[in-house]
Amino acid sequence: MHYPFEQILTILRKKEAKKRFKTRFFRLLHINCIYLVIITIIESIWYMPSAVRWILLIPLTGNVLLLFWLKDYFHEKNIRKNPLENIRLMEALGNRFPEVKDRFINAWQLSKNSDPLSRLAVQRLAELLPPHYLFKELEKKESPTLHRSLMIKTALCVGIFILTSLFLWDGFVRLLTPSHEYPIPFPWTWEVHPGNVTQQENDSLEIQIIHSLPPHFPKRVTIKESHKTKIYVPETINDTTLRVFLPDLQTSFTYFFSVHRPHIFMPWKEKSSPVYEVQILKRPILEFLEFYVIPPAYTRLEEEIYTGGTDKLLILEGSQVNIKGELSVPVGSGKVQFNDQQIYLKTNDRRFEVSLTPMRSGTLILTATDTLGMSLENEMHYKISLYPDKKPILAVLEPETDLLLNETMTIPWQVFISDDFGIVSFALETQPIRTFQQHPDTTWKENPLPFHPEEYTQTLTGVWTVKERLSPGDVLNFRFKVVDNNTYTGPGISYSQVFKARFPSLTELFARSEQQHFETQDNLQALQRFSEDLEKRAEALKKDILKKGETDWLQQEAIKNLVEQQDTIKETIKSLQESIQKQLEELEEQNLFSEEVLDNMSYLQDLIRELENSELFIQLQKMQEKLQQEMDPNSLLAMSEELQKEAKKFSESLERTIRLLEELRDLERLEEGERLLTEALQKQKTLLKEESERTSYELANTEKEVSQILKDLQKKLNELPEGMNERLSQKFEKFSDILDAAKLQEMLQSAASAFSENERTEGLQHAEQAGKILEEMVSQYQEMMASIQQGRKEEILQDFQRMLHRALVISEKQEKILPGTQKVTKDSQALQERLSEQNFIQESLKQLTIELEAISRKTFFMGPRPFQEVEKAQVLSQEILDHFQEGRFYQAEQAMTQNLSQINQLTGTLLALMGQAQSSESGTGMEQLMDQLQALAEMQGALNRDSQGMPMPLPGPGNETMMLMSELAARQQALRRELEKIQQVMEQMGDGTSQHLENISSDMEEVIRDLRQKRYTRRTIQRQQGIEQRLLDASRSIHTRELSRERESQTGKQSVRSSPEQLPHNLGSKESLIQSIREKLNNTSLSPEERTEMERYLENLRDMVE
Amino acid sequence: MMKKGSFFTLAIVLLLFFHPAWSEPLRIGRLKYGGGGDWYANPGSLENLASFINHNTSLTVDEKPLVVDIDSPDLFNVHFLHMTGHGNVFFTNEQVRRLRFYLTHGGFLHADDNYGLDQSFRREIKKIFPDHELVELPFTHPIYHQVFSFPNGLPKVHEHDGKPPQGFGIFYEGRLVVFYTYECDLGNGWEDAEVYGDPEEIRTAALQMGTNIFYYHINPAYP
Repeated sequence: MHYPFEQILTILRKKEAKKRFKTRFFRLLHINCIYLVIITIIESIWYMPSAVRWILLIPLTGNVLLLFWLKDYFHEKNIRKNPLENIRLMEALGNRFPEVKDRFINAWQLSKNSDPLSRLAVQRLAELLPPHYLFKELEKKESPTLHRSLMIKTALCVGIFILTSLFLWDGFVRLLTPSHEYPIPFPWTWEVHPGNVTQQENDSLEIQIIHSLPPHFPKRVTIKESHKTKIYVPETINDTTLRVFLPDLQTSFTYFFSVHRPHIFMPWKEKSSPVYEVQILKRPILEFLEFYVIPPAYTRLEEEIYTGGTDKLLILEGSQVNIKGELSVPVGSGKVQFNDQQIYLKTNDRRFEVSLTPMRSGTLILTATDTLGMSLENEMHYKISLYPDKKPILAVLEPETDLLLNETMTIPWQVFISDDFGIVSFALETQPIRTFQQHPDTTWKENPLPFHPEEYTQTLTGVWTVKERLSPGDVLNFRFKVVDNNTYTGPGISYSQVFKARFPSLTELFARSEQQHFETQDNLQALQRFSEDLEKRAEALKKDILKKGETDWLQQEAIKNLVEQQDTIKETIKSLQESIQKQLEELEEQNLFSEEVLDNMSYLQDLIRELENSELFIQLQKMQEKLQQEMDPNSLLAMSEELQKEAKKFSESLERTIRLLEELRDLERLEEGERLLTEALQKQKTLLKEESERTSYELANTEKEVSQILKDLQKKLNELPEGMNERLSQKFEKFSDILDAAKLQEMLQSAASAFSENERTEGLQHAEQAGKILEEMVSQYQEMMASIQQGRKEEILQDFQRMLHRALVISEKQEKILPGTQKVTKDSQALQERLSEQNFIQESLKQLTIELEAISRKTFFMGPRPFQEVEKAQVLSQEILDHFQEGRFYQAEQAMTQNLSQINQLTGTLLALMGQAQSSESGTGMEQLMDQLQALAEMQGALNRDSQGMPMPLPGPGNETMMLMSELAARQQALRRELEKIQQVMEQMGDGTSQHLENISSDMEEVIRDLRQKRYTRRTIQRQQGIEQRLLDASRSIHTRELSRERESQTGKQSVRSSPEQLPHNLGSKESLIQSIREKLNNTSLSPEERTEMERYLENLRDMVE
Repeated sequence: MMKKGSFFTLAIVLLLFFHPAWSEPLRIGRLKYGGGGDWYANPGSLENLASFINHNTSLTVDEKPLVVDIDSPDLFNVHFLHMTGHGNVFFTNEQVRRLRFYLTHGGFLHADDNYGLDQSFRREIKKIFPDHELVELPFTHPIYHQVFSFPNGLPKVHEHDGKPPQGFGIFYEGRLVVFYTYECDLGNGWEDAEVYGDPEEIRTAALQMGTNIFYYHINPAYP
């Protein structure tokens, strides 16, 4: 039987191969799909690079297996291939049929054999399993389960794949195009600031990232330094800004920003910014710093050095601060900021320096950079505090309280002063408050006092002589002032408290002056007693010698004692001079008396000076020397006579001086009365004028003061000193009666009482009445004074006339007997007549001398000249008599001629003196000279101006110019002659100013010479100007006796000081503001007490503003 | 033609009339005062000052200053009044009245302390202006910066008491009417060089400051 094993096998093999192929195919498809899905997903997520995609696609090349499988299909389909497979299949088939099972495969195997068993087996098989059945069975499709599931799976996978590829099409496309590079999408952006940057060491850096990244993305900033790497998580400022702050940078580094994927399902793992570089430049280091503090020069302190470690400097105002330092690298630039001042450093390689003078405290900030612009790590801050130079210390040890000025007008003082750096001036400031001033001068006058400039602390003592012109009742405010040597902010000034020195009242002053006169008089009288004593002793000695031919020892001793007193006498005279000088100066300052009184005092002084130079002292000296030796009686006699003569002269001079002193005293008493009355009147007038501004109490007090003044006056008028001029005494008594009769005192007392009881109207009535009477009294007193002075003047003129008459008679007589004298003979009538006349002349001359002495006690006109002339005439007259006695008639005539000339000269002198007495106001003469000199100065001034009208330089010789110069020369000559006349008069009066005039005269001579030589230069002009100036000075020196300061013409030292404060808003018119307030107050109805309070307030206001 | 000629002539005449050469020069007066002080000190100073002003500014100043007595009408003929001295100054009541009138009606007084004038000047000026005080001018005041600049104030010409020089002023209704120089001695600086033998720069500085003072008063910017 043929069993179609091969057919079956073929079918089986075919089916199997098909099945296998199908399975393989589906599985491959399945795998492919799954793989593709996976890689598509991977690609879509991760955006693989090209290479990776290729790699991923490589497994797909495994699909080439399909070909092999196809080959296998054909191979497996071929029953000839792989017999084992046949066996398996046959076996499997057999097993499908339980009825056959192994038989099948056995049959198949046996089929190959041709043996009957084999055939039987086959047959049997055929029987069991008919081939048609088998073929039917074989045609049946296998269970679809296996295939179905595989197909479902495969379909599923394909479906998934398709879906995935559709859904992730981009990824799928990318997979299919592995050679193409696709950028990984990154839709976010960022910006990193500042990027590359250069910073300085120790600077800080803020890295900012402006981004659009989602917040959940991890972000990092990576800092890479040379040795380390740091990763920072930036701080989120807001949704779009991140920040990393890096303080205190030391080394250079790089950094970048990176963002990381938040999960693995992002195609990118990390995105980074470019790497940025931060370069750190090293800062320069301050190696050292020093402060040199140079105190202001005036302190004489040495400079101090502070190191940079100091952060505070305490320096004196005005100090200069020099800062020196050094950096670790060359300095580029730098500056110092101090308050609002900015100063750049001076640099020199690594060193720098700067100077400044701080004006106020503050903080100094030092900054510096190197040549690359790198600055110091920190600004250097230094606090500079300024302390001011302290004001000097001043403590007054004496006086302790206010004081009353005495006649010496001195203020003893003791003051302690001290300063830290030095004192530049120490002074006493004075401020006179005068009684009649409505608006007292509040200016302080400075009077420098000596001190030791080198000592910083000292106690000084001295006596201040008040130079102010004070009037009685005035008060001198004074204070001490010390100024330090601060030239920077201006001198520090310290003041003491204000002391008051009260000037005694008028009455007190007059009393003092009178007391001084009495003392002078006493001294003069003491001198006179000495002189008289000396005269007596000399007379006694002379008598002794004449009688006995020798001297008594006692007498000699007595003379010796007197002679030895000459030094004491000289001292007394000197001290008299000094006291008069002092008195004169005081009286000038006090303005108590008129110029006439002062001039007279000055002459008194001259007279006393003459006493000092008296011949008496020379004789005394000679006597002293002689008494020490053995002296022969004759010499002693001669010396005694001389001594007696000189003592007598001295006595006479003293007598004259004493009389003049009495005259002066009388004049002073007269003026004192006027002064007291005038003061009383002034006070009364002021009271009436200011009545509305004063309280009742003040008014009552003023009336009492006026009443007191009048009482003092009355006392003066009644208590007259001994020896007062009789006429003056009578006048005073008369005036005293008039004053009593006027009942002024009662009126003033009534006024005072009324004011005290606040009955102002009544008081005012009385005051007005008293004022009128006072005015009348003053007028009467002045009339009385004028009549006394006129009387005096007339008396003096009468005396002069008398003397002149006598001199003329003497001259006439001398002239009469002169001719023919030499021809007379002895015992002739002519001789007798001449002798008689000459004796008369001699007697007349003696009488003239007496008259001269008498007049010299009344007036200061008489200088020594007339006395000298009359003495010469007397000597000559005596010579004439002697010649007559001796029979020398020729010599007598010669002497007569000389005498006549001498007498004529004397007459001329007397005439000139009389003329001056006539033209002067009171007969004393000095005002006239002053006026003459002043007039001369004015004429010189006019001449100067006319001279300067000439063109300079002169245009050359020309008629007009020459005529002008000649005229000018003539005028100058005339002025010079006038000056010489004045000079002569002054010499006669013994005035020392005449020396001064001689210099002026010689300059005038020079000018005249220039003008005559037609020479007019700058020097000529200067001489002319000098002449005018000195003439004025000369007249001024007579007119006033002000103490003149030396003209300090030393070139000044320039100094720099700070500018004064800005001008006040009121431009110094605060006084007018205060005044306007005062005026407004005057228009209100305030009571006097309230007004006083307001006035006090305004005064304080003025002081406060000052 | 005639009209044109007349017009031309008139123009020439007017031009000549207003030519600076024809205008009257400015005048400095030296104040003569009473009291015994040497008002006549520094006799050559004002001539030198006038000459310096003429050479250094466009002003024309009479180089022969006038001596002005307060009681004389000449007081009102000077544009600039100068006073100096070493000693006492005294004004009578009438002189006080006249000076006040002069100064409050456009006049100007420069007082220069020649050393010794201070006390009496202060006393007497108080009589003229009792309601106004002497105030020290700061260095920024225009008087120090007119033609020449003095940033540190007055130059110190002569030593005197060794104090810094000070310039004081009295203002009347806002106008500087009195300028008082103290511890300075400008007048000495204006004298010829051989008078005091001061260095040339000191003299020049003194003359410059004097020019400033004069110019300040004349300057219409400071009425």
